[in-house]
Amino acid sequence: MRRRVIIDECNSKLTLFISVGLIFIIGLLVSKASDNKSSFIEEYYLGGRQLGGFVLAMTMTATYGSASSFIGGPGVAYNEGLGWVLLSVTQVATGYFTLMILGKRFAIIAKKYKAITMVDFLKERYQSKWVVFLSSFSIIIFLFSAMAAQWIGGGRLIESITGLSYHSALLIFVITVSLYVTFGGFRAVTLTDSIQGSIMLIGTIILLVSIIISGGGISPIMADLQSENPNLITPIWS
Amino acid sequence: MKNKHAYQIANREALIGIGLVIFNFLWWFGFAYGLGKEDPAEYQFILGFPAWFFYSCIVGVLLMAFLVFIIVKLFFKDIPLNEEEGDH
Repeated sequence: MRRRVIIDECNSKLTLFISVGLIFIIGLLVSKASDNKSSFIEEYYLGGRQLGGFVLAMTMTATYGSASSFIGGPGVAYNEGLGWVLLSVTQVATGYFTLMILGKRFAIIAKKYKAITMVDFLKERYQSKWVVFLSSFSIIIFLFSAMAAQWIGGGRLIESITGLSYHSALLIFVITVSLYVTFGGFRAVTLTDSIQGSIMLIGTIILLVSIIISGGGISPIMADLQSENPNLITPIWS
Repeated sequence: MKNKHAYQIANREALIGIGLVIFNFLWWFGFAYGLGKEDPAEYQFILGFPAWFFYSCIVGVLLMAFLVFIIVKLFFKDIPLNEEEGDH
């Protein structure tokens, strides 16, 4: 029994490091392979302003399907029931809504201003120091908090899979991400995002099917929830 | 001239986006709280799921994905971004 646990732990460590290594190498290769047609800045931050639909879809999957969907979300759903699932479904709208309203307009104007970042764009649009200051400030504050949550999630995940201490797990995660983002730029991020997005999508489907099978079908699962607490299957939080 | 046209397209598509999201919200809210507010003991089940959940969360997501696909394919126009670069 103990032996089995050790082997499992070794296997998962191996899997983790191989996959982190692979993602890392792919990110680096992509950064080398990018063409020099557009300027370095445009290539680095925007992937030369041209990426396909599949890459966009998978980037959005990987962005929305973050640590909260896989680590925090299931825990809340376990406590609150289907009401939580109902709330998370509203996220579906945010993707197409923002893209339909802002996507094309941003593309036209950003191209005209030759804007690279959100702040470039706002600066050209409003010609105001305060807008630049406030937007930079809020981007730093909010991105920082959002990223901190992702890093903690990533660190905890590596910790629980490999049995490393939380701090070394966090360190591995942070170093890997920082390195390939720094060297690879936007194109590397979108490519590794597409790979990770595909893995999440396939993994989620496998997980869903195996959970339904191990629960003996959907009806018994719902009946279980109902007998546990009827509010678990209502849209109102229990 | 070309640029103005591009803005018109972007505007029209933004309006379509707003319409879609309002429809999405009404569908989501209507089925969830319309069917779901009754006593759980009285619930109807479809494919094992409570009816409100089935319509609001499962059918709703599939329907929206289908609608977005159809609308983008049929009504959205691709605009060339490099057009005005020749001007200056």
